[in-house]
Amino acid sequence: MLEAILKYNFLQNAVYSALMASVVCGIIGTIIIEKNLVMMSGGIAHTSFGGVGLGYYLNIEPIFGALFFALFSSIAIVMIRKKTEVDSDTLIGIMWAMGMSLGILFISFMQGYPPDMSSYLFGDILTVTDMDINIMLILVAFVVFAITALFNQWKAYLFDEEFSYVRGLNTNFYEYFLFILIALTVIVLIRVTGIILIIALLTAPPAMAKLFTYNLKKIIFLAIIFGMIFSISGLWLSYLFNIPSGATIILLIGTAYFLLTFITKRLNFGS
Amino acid sequence: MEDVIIKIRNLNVYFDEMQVLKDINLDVNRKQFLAIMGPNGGGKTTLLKVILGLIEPDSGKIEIAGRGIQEGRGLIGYVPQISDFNKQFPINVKDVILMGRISDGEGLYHNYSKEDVKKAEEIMKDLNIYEIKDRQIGRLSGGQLQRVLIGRALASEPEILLLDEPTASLDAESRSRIYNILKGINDQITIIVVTHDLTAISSYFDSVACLNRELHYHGNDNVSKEDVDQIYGCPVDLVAHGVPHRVLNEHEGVDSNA
Repeated sequence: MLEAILKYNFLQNAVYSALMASVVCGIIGTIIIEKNLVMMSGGIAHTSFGGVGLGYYLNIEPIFGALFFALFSSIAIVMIRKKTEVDSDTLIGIMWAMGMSLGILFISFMQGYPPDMSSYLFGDILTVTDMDINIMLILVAFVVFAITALFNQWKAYLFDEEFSYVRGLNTNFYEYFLFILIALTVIVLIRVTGIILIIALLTAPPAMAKLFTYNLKKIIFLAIIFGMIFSISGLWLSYLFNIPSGATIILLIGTAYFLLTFITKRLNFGS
Repeated sequence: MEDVIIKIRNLNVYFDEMQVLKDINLDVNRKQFLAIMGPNGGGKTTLLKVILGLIEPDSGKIEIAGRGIQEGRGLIGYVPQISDFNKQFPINVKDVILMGRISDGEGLYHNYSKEDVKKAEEIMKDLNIYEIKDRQIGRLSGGQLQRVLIGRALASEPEILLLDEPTASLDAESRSRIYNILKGINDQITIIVVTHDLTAISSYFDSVACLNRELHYHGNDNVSKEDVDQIYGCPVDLVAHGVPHRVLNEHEGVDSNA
């Protein structure tokens, strides 16, 4: 495969995008697990499908439509959560399906032959374009900078919002910022695993990492490494057997999680 | 010398239509050790959160050291209920204590300074949690975790310490340990404890306020049975909860507190 990677641009892009996706998954995935925002992130991802549809309908790059929808919905979720008593779970349920419906509606408005949406729904890492790579690079760099530059503040915010507020931290800012980072992460992942499969890529690597350490930084680093290992091997398998890449990566990473959990529990049990 | 550090005037808080705090007036002096007690749902935590600026009052005024809540907030060390947060969070004791040193405007790529670390270590030694500084907080006993939270609040070098049910679900030994720690720092710091645990009142606090939507303030620990009855509304229940009688004044035949 190495030879093929050097030879084909599309394989290079696939590898780059898998590596970048692993980085944001390790960081944001760890955070959403600790903050119980996994379903929220799934909701934002699905809402962005409306943007994909809008993009096709308006004939602009669908990923920009998705970005707009993801940002809009994440900011809306924070605002609604703050201003009303609506239960987050309910809110996600509604937005999740509304976003998907909008996408379907926009596509149905299009003249002629409808586009193939499956690469957005299930991801197709082998069709990642140079432009996709550039967008991903910008988003990943931004997420990494935002988290590392404010790491101590994030840690305080994530651990105890009220105490951080009392200490003078602008917790409002961190809440909005976190949701924006989740939206950006969703966009990075859409091309790799697709809207529907995103949550597994976000949760499995940090969940595996948590089996080994109680240190936030180490969890993030381990999660990134796990993400890289499994997304690259998933990519390799899908190339080898000509099977869908997004599904392969998710199945691999999910199986690995269950195996690891089982093994570590067994080991703990023995000792 | 009677130097007022927290001044509350005509404070009212509503949740939707329900009034949670009604016309609260309270002066807390510097280095006072005040207990605010009352039944669950009596508004104790709400009052604390209003003082901390976490809940906006519907009307009324609060001054902290002569300043508004937003400016005065920095003087307060807050010790939340241990049941309130995620004990699985991947963080160890030392990092929790250090968190007390953080404040807004720390800037990018903030690192805790040598002084921060030194201060944190001092506090951990004082509170007898230095040996467990690398332990994840989910693996602590209730008493240890409570000391960690007190340590985090102390790390910010506050003038006022606010504690929300610091001894809930602790055994008697841990409980007296916590109160001894508080007594020990009381010569430096004003302490307000919100609790429904009456056992500690007579021996540690120098004043008690009873809160059940309205606040009844007692300058010293002379809480009459009538007061408690009025606040709790059910004296039998009180005894049934195992509250020792020694807490209360000799009420029969004695004129209740002045």
